[in-house]
Amino acid sequence: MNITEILVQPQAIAWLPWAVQYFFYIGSAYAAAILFLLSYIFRAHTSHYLRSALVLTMSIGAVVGPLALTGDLHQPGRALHFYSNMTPWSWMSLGSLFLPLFSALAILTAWLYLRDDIAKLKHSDNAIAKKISLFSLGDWQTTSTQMITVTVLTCLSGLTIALYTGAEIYVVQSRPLWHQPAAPLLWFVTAFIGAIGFALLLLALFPIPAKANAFTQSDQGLIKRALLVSAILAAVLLPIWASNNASFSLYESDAWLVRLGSLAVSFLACMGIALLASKIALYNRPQLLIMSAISLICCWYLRWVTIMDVQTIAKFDQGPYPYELPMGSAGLLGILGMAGLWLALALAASEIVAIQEKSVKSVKRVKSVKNSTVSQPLKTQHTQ
Amino acid sequence: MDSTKRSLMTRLGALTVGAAIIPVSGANPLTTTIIRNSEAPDRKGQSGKRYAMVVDLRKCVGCQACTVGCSIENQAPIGQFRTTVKQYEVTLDDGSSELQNVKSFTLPRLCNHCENPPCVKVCPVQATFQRDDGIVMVDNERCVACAYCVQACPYDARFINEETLTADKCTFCAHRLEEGLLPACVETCVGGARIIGDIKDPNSHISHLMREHQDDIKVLKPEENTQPHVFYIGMDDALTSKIDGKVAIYDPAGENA
Ligand code: SF4
Ligand code: SF4
Repeated sequence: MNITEILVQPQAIAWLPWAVQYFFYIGSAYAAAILFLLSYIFRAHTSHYLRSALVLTMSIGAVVGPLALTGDLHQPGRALHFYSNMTPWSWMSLGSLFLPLFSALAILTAWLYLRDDIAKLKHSDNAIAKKISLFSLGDWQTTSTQMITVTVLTCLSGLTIALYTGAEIYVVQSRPLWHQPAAPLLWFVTAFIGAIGFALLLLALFPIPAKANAFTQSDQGLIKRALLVSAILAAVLLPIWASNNASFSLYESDAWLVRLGSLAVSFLACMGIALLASKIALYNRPQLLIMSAISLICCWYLRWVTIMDVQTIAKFDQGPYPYELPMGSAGLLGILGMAGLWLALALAASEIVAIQEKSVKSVKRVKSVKNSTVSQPLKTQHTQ
Repeated sequence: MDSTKRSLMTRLGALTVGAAIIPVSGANPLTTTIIRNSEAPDRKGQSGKRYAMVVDLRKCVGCQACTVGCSIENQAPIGQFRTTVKQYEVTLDDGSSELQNVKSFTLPRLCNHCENPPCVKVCPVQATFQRDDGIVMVDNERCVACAYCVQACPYDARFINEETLTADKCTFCAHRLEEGLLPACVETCVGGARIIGDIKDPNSHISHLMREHQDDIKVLKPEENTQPHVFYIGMDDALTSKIDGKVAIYDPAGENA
């Protein structure tokens, strides 16, 4: 039987680009939480810069992500309905509990970690910086036990985010490309690519002196391994994911071949920069920006393909349903707005680390610490 | 119960569609947990009934009177539909003499008021619910418009209404049924292809029809285990699940198309 569609009403995209933004920022946040925990456990080997970049990636993503999510509700003003009608069997409802908890913990962790840096702002000549120093809330020292406890809690909370965001989409049986284990796994592993991308961007924003010893070999090792492992896993998962679509073969569609091919290339590019990571200088802005752009595009585009492009596949009819990115707030403007917000927060936060860096140089000279890395004096208060 | 009746019942149960009728007394709890979100007293509907629709495709001429009737009755925004009639052009390639004949196939589509509705299960605020009479509804004052239900429905029967900005879908015109009226689409159908009724009532028109055509009743996507309650007479298997055909030329006109 030959069937040709004559009159078929296309179904509109129901989850807007906001959903992609949410998955992008919140994914980078939970992955950064895990990477931050690792870098903090090995704080004798990693630099304060990298740890700051990771802790800020985590906390900024944990703020920007939920904002993007409310954009995806067509009725953001009704967000309170989530709490007046708790529905434990719906993953989205569980998410409404997990998400604020994670955001709060992420901010707490970042604050605890950067407290010393914030406190040091009081030596600044800038009046606003002096005021901001009050946010350290006293002169008490953050102990490493406090740091570890809160960071571990944040990581666990981050895992609940990974679990619920994955499960929420996995349960949608009507879309075979979502209803398979490879889908949440892909989002999970590529979240680390996003986290590294944002951390590299932050490093590029920090006014770091052009000194090779600002970074440690472990910094480079962490970036390299995280990128390499997640890009390899993603490259393995992608064909598994794409093949698991019973009703329609992605490989028979030119548009899908281009999408899958571009993703494969972006994973390869991530592997490439991972392999270069130990060779290039982490204080070199242009290099940082290029590496950051490649990994961010890779992480973002994977989410675009797996969330937006999948929605153009018809559930019943032949499809694909047409979708064009609108220019307004439900489309391009929203995407740019969220990126702008992330950047604004990152620029503001990077000032804290920056000003601290200047004062540290003098500390270092006075104490003439034998260890040559800048990270050593910076973390004295955390390591005891 | 006399023996002819009993054997009829047994045969009925053996049918594929039997799977869709049995759950009137509750679907198999071993295979699925059904969430209906209908505890609140104002969510019961007409308890004791189970509304369903039969669409007799042999009578559908594809005139879209139902589409228009529904749009007028329920005031869905222009370009968004609670029910439409899809049209396909079909030719046979089985070597039969009808090879050259081009036939038009029309398929009225609406919410199936599934007995195991995945759309209800996912709703994070229990805004969508299924009444005792089987009708799946949306409380659009509670709906946060997360569109989770739109994703979960395997039939693309739901949409986010551009005007109310909440989930929208066919209600079997519950407001009309409660007043003893027929749904707008049933009322306007020129071919008499849409029949609605209570399948719990063995004497209803729909129950008669279902018994009469028990061998030729199909539902859409039976493999999804949603147990749809819109039953089609005169349906070909090639069109019950994801259609393997040539693409429509979408020619949306205007912003809302
Ligand atoms: S057809 Fe879709 S919207 Fe209607 S009850 Fe079934 S799953 Fe829900
Ligand atoms: S769009 Fe409304 S009815 Fe649908 S799942 Fe979300 S809150 Fe529930």
